[in-house]
Amino acid sequence: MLVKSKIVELADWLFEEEIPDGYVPDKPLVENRISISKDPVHMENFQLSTSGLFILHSKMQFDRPVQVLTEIEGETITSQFIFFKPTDSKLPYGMSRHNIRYIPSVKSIHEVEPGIEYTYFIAVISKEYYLNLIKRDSLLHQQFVHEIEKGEYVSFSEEDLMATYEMQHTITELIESKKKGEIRRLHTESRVVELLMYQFEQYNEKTESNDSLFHEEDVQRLEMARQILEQRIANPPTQKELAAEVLTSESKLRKDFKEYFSVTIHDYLTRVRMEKAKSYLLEDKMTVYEVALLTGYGHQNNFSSAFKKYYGISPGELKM
Amino acid sequence: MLRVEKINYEVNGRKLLKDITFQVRKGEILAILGANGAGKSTLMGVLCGEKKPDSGAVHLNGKALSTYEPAALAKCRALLSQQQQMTLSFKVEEIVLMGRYPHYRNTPKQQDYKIVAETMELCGVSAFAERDFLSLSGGEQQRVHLARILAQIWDNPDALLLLDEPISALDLHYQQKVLAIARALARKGFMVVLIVHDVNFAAMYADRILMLKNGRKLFHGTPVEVLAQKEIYTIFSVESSVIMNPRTLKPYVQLEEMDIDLD
Repeated sequence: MLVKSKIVELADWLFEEEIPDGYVPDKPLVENRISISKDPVHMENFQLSTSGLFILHSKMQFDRPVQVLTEIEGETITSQFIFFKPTDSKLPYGMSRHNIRYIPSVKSIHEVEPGIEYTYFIAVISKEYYLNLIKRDSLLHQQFVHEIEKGEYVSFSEEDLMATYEMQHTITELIESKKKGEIRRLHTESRVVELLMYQFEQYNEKTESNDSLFHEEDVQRLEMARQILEQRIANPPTQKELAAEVLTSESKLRKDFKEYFSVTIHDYLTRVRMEKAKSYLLEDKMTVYEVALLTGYGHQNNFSSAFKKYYGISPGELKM
Repeated sequence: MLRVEKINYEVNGRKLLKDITFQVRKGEILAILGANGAGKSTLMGVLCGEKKPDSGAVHLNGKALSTYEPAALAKCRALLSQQQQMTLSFKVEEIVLMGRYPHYRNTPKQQDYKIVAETMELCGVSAFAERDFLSLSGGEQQRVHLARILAQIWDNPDALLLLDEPISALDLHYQQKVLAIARALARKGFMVVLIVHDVNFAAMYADRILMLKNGRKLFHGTPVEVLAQKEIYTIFSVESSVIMNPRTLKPYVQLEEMDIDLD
């Protein structure tokens, strides 16, 4: 695949990269940081390329409106993010949008305005590499793969979505990683997958949110499941047993529980155990040994490390 | 129980609330946090039945909010709103007695006077009973309104208490006291939903925290779970560090100083 970009009003290409589509074991990963400052453009670019993948992160400002031309040759899937905010804004983040697109070679022109700081992130992934990263038959992108097979330009999400904190964090990690060599490649790959996951997840949440409300029976099941967890922290049922007790399937219970209570079954159990532990320790002045037994952790060490993970301090650090 | 399910609320195509789901159980205090314009008051409006969501449902004690008769609803949910306009001259006690309107037909009963006296005492406004409401300070007026809405649901521990910035005009003592009242009521069985700006008050008094941004529920959990540097930054765009109080096991948020350059 070939990726290149230029400002229509200027002669030189901003960058021009030829990237092999498939994975080549010994092909190194190349990183580049370039700053361009020539009227009317101010750019801080980070580029990363390796077989099947090209990443560009660009902070841009323009003195006057210009047109940016981007050309991609070859079948690619792109994950695109644009963050923009007025140059004089002190806030770290402004507005953002993102999408995943399948682009069977494209030439596109975008107009940009002065007085706005743009941060542009794009991961260009060859079709081959993409289908290798995310299994072809994954439910996450079934429809998308179907569209890709037709060979026509398609966006994963009908409308662009807003970048979440997780996505921004992942992008930052991708850009700022100090890792080198093969580790850098692994790191990059894992972060790209993570980023795509967040994008899929947000899109799926969005489409599912239009679903109808919970059925009354399901709400009763969920409330019952919650009560069971609260009452049996010392010897809680497995998720499978819990599902059987409230007469539903394990997968449905997990999905509904998370959606309804906005916490997973596992994290909910931890929450209840920790809140109980707190009152046992602070109000009832029980010993750590007793509390570990009563909250179902069995061994004191298991309890202490779970406690520390939840509260940030260990039971021994409490001041009575 | 208050059950809020997949609420969406739009005005002129702007999504003020998007896919909000949560529950408040008897005895629980839920604090809603969020920056200005995050949708907190809009959510309160939906919870009290004033605003009808475009989709989704609110159930109060097993019954859809939209199916309540106004008089019946008034007995099981009370709202202290952020803006209270009061231009007519009333005596303080008269205003608090208005909280009992849903409960009597023509003249207040002994029970109504008793409740009014109790809530006025609790909110520290008994001394002003005979005074003109308009002659009070902002903080005193806020406490009178609190006494009024407490009187409204005082004898119904299944009720829902909605407090939209109940302490915004109060001094330190009454800020604490009002939140302590809210907690004491929750311990008697009331459900309390409250909007506060101070994250540390939320950490101290709330059982659960729901953090809104752009009308979306971003974080929802116990104070320990949601009050962390990353979450606080995401919601308020401020730098902070969070320490755990080893006496109470409640998180304490220390804000970093912010600098602004005016040049």
